[in-house]
Amino acid sequence: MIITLVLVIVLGTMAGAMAFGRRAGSGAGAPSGPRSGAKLVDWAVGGRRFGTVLFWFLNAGEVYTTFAVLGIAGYAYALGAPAYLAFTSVSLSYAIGYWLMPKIWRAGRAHGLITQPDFFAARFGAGWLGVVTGLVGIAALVVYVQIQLVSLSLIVQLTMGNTVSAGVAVVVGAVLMVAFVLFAGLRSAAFSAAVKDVLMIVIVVLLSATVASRVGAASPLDVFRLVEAAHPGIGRFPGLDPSSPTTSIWLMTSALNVALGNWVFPHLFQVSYAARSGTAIRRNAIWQPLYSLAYFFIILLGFAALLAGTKPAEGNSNGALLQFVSDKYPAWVVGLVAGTGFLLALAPGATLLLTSGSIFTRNVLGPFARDLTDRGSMLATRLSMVGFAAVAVWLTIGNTESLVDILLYAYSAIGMLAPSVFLAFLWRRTSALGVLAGIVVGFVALLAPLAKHFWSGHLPEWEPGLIAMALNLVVVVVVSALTPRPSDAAVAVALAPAVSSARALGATAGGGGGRG
Amino acid sequence: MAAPPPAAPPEPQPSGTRSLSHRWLLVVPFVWQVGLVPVVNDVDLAPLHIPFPMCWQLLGIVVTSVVVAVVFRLDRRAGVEREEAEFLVSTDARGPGGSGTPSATGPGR
Repeated sequence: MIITLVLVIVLGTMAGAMAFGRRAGSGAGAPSGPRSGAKLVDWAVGGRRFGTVLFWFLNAGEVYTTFAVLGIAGYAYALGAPAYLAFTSVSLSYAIGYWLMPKIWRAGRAHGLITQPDFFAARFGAGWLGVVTGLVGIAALVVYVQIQLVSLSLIVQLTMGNTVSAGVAVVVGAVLMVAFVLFAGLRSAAFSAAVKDVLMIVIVVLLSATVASRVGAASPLDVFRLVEAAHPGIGRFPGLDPSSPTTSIWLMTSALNVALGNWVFPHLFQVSYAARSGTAIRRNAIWQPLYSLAYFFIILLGFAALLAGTKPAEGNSNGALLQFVSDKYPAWVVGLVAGTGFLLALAPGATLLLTSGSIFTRNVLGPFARDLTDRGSMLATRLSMVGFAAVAVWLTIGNTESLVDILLYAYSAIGMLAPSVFLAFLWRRTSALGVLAGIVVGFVALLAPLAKHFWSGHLPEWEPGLIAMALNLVVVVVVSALTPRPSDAAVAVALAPAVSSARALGATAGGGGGRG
Repeated sequence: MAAPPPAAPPEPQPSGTRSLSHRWLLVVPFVWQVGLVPVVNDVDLAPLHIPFPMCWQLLGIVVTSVVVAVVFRLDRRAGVEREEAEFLVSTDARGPGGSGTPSATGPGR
């Protein structure tokens, strides 16, 4: 029953996505080499033709993710209030994105940019910076893929009734993801996102409407009363465990780190390129935050799992929601949840791998292998995607960290590119060497054992990624002030020519308020 | 590698006399959802049984949508969409995104 439903949902969606991709002319099944112009524009940035409706689904795909559904439910289950981080992630990202995304879109359209490193190389007039930022972006994406793999392995285990080990489940998940990638392009991913969102809404309504009776509550809202009675203080920071470092400060710094890093992820940077117009982007920013109100139900379910005394395998909080459903609901609900869960992880996972692969071939390998044929670059893209999936598997196996914590690692990594993305649009002088120095210092502050020890000892409640981002920003500014500015043509990729610069810069800085 | 250099650098930024200072409104969501977190954390109310800090964040989402909608309106009044339409026309002439073949795929949609 469960397996049948899963197969119907996953295979049905893949077939639909491929048909949709063909009809829309994206050539989804056979992406051509990432370095051949027109085809890659279609494949990676949807031909820059996403109007308001498609653009909505492309973005909404980022709302119901495995992180949100499994991770946030698990966080609510294990910690309580810290799960509210979800409520800030979408709205604050769009408050910034309203200002930032149209700028990225404009640069992409005017200069034919396809990947994020394209932007760095063009704006700072330095091809080597494309290689560096490409590698940083891939590193952050691989960590992000890990989130999808952790979730996939849990869902594989749910489907198979825990007959496979966690390690095998991770590998199975990775194989599925790579297979999905080879059959999907961005348009197909948008289609899958639409399907999974509809299914997700059905599931959330179904579970939320029936959850009260499963945990002995009078109504869904009564769940909140019962959980507060059983665990006083769970609804405020620091949450369930009074000694947890997840205080108000933790939420504030983590929320800022997520909002500032969000559009800097290479795949979301590309989402801006895919829009048909800046207006489509801005209109989307009005409505998209409201969609994240749905996290209310995810947290409700997490609290319900806690009330029901759910015991996920190996105490892994990421599995709390799935375990709860499997304990309390009939097989067809479990099958529906598992099938949707596959899409939830596969569609974003496909986008992440696809982005990593095209960046690798175009921006990392490209400068060193200029005579690569289309066939050769396609092979390189596919092989690199398999390689990145393998690295993600290696990171995932034996790791039982919370999905929320893994997500925060991914944001810390990509946050190292954030200061330079913002400064690119704000400050003409920002130079390639400044960007490089900021990245180096930021990563040292993030990863060096001495620094890590210092932050956890002195600022335990602070998100380390935000501290590293601040140091990175200072270094970019100082080094840029001391090094030659990029050429006028390069600066013009992001900022108006010097004649009207005083005025335009004033206006731009005025809009920069969203940076908080 | 890097994008092909544009034949004629377009004007990537809006110029003219309009003011975009209303975009500072976009700070409001940050004040609400980040700045006031410690303030609301100790409020003991639980409307509809929902813990107050959670209510506050839910309201913050609605506030963000309202603020963005207001800024969208003010942007339109300030001529942002008009200016953008000109940019679209000016870049269309050279083929969007450097793909060079807008007509080959255009009519499909």
